[in-house]
Amino acid sequence: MAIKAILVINKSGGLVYHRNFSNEESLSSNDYLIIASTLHGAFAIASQLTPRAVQLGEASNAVDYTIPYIPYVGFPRSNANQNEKSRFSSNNVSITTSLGSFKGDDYFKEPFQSWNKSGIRQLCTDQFTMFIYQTMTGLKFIAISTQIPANVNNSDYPIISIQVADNLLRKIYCVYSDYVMKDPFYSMEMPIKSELFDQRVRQMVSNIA
Amino acid sequence: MSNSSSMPAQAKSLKHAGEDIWKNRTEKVNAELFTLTYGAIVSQLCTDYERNFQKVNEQLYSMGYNIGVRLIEDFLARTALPRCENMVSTSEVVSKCAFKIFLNITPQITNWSHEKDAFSLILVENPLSDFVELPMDAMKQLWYSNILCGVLRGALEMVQLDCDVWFISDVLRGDPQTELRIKLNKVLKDEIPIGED
Amino acid sequence: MPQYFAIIGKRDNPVYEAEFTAQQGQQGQVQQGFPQNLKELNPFILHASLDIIEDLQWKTNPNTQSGSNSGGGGGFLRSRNVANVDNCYLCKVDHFYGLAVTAYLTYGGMKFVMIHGNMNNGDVQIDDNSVRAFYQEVHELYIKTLMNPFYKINDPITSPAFDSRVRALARKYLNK
Repeated sequence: MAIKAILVINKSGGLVYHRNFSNEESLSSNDYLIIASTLHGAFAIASQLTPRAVQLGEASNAVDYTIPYIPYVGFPRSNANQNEKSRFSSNNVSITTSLGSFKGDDYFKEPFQSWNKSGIRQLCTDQFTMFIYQTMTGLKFIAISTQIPANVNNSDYPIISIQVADNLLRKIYCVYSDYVMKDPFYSMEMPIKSELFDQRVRQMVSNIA
Repeated sequence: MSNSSSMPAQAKSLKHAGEDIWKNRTEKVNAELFTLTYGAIVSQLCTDYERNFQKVNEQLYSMGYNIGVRLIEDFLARTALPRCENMVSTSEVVSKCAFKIFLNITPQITNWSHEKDAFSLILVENPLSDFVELPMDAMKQLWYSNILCGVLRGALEMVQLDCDVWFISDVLRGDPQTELRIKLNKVLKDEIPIGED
Repeated sequence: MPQYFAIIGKRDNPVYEAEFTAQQGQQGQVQQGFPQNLKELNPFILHASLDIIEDLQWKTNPNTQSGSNSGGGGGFLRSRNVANVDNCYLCKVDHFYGLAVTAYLTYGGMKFVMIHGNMNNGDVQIDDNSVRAFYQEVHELYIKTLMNPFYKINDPITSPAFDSRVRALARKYLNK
């Protein structure tokens, strides 16, 4: 799952962070702003759609929103292969050891509930797949991946990746709570300029195989 | 029936989650450094505001508010707790998780209002006020730990609970206990993120 | 026997003072305490001994000078002498017409000084162990006072809680 971009959208639909991981920068900042606000709107519209759609399909009323914990998503030791690992550790030795105010070897270790129940969680197109993690405070963390659901027959594949994505995006939320929220010079709802946050996000994404 | 039997179980798991996060998932700072830092801030504010303690209270509250609106993200990132359905479960989360994770204390929840929209937290111990003795002129006016009210107010507001938070009594003033009151004004329904349902 | 205890700041300013008598707050206090004329003299006697304390402050500890492992013996601070358990307590430093003066130095240079009076015009007996224990516990109380954000170093200590705790310690250790 190669992640192409990470976006963070604040509760009023404004883009506060974007990072493109592909080499060619094809979009202008303005384009990103448009994507963010469009997505914010589409998300709201989709959630209007969901209850009806759920009624159409015969989904039981007890939907399980639990996301399983997948160990070490975004860490070099697990998903990365040996080659990846050595390349990584030679570049960023210092950063891998510390998780900020989080203690232990992973940010969290238990399955968790998704707060995003009726909005878009995953959007698949022929060109890309998009994952959205929304927090209780209304922040949206978005990962855009180049992965396309070509091998639809293998039904396990897309399910795993939304779970991986939710794990990754919650970890980015953890990093955000440390490096953005605890930056005394950050003003709420404003674009994130933190170098440290950017560094951590890049690092995590580069560890997703 | 089912509600009454599920409540203690839920409260117990909250307690467990709070303790686990405190013990295993959170880096600590030295408690005395923390206490002395807060003390230095309060006493400096008293000097800067020329011992106008009303102003000091307000300033502590607004500093707390700014902390609360940020700290809630840390709390949610750590716990990923689902939204509380009522103030009773909110009170449990505040006492058993939030206070536990950030201050390693579990205040007692008491004095529920008739409508179950307001409750008190009794702080048996208060890490902010270790070593503190209020000067005589501040005894009647200063709420030494008023920053806590601001933190709670800010944090609850960010999860769409518009609350008033204030101190009723403080052992530093010679009261028998330290009591903090939280009253829900209204749930900001319009601001609940779309998609949460 | 009565005592007059004082904490003297780094600039030789008084920070705290108290007089301990055998029966605190009872009617026989006058007989148990210092005579009135001495009461007024006490601060002077106590301050007169400060010079001696300051001399001692920068000397190597006499108790360990003869010791074989003089690794810390060359240090100029008494507290550097790890081998010496009394590194803050200076024992009896001075006397004045049958009154004895003991002293204790904190690491920050605060001087705890006490005049030990005598009722029966005999020699003053100082039980070093209990006096040292008294000083050490007052030192702990003093540190707690320093931790109070509203207390500024070298200011007079006005806290009634501190006063009553010190008096309780005096009853425990000094007036047996």
